[in-house]
Amino acid sequence: MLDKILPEKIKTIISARLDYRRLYEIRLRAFMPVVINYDGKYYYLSEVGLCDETNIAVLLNSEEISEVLVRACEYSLYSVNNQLVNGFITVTGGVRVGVCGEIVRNGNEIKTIKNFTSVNIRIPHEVKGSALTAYSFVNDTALRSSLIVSPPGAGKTTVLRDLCRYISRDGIKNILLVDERNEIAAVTASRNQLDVGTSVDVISGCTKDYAFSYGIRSMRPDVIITDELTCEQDYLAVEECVAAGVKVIASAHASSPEELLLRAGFSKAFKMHVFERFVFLSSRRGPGTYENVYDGDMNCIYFAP
Amino acid sequence: MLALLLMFAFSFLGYLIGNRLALRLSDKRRYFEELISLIERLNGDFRFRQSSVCELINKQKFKSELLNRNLSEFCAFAQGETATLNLCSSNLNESERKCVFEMFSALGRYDLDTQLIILQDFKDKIEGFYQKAVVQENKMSGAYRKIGALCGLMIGILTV
Repeated sequence: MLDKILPEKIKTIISARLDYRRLYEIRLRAFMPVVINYDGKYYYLSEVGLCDETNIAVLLNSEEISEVLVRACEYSLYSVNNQLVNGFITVTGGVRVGVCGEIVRNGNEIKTIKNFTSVNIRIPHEVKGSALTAYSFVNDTALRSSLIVSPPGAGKTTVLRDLCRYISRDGIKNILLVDERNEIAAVTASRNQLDVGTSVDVISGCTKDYAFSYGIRSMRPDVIITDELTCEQDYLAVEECVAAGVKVIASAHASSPEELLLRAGFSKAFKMHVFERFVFLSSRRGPGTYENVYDGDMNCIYFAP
Repeated sequence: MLALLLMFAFSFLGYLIGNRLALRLSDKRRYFEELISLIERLNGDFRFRQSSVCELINKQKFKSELLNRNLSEFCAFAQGETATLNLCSSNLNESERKCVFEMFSALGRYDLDTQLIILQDFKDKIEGFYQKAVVQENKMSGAYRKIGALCGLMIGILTV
């Protein structure tokens, strides 16, 4: 898919000098150097490959930035407008394209985004086995509601995807995958583009509170897996699921327990013991590096080496 | 007898050439007619179906070979199979070619409201081309056939 959306000059350099599998992120900003996250580290992209100097880095103009987005939605910007107003679109293969530009409002409602200034292309990775450590804590004596915590870009989604596959493999359980941004399973034309296991029902593109209540009613899941709890509403939806007897495995942004406690809605969920395991990840030794693991009372049960 | 046959054969050949030229005018008229119909359908589909342009376009089949060809060329471009938008535009003059190219280039690049306004603008322009093509066809297609037949006859007479 990247081949189809990237500008020719960037595509040529990446194909000739880099390995697509080690590429995590491509950040394109109008009239600014192109930045690449390669193996978890940021570099500028130049004609000769990766570099640390801005003066030789490749620049793109605003038209080229727009072209990337238009190509990403296969020349159908109007059809992804609902996603676009949330700041990103997800394209075939789970590639997430975040955008910045001029917001067009109609009263309080965001109508669309135009005159794009930045595009952030995040490439999903299937790292089979990446959730092995997490799985041993999430499913020790029984499956436990858990939160995978890390700063952005440290591999939460990859670990969640792999965790989903492990749970699916370990006896038949009904897993409801709430894929709000369509990047865990990357469903395209009713088919999962990324491997999330076999006994998984995927609901994508809707808010968590809706998906949770709808999913519990319609699919009777044993476990719900979802990405990025961001607001109080999300934590409330999780609380209701756990109260209904459904295990929830989710992810959240933070780099330490202290930071996590500052997140809106989390402290209440913590006091109510909604989660029984907190698995912290970082990019310290590349994306997906395991840090400490905590139990529901934030007692450390695994110290990172 | 042979001379008469030869004259008839040349005249018929001339008529066929004239007819071919007349058919080119009909093709052009049909191209614009169906392009307008495509824009009208897209207007509705963009509003209510929200599928990708290629998905909407692929389901449409037209009598105009040139239009069908343009649609597949656009889809190839939109799906990343070709790097640039190359549209076959034989039979179109410079301003028509430019308008059609701009119309296809503008497809799917805007939010819904803007897209509909832009398409309406192109539809108005293309309707102008269509009117011209109809007038041209009515005026010239009969004449091309007659001129063809007469020229054929003349060549036949000269040859005999």
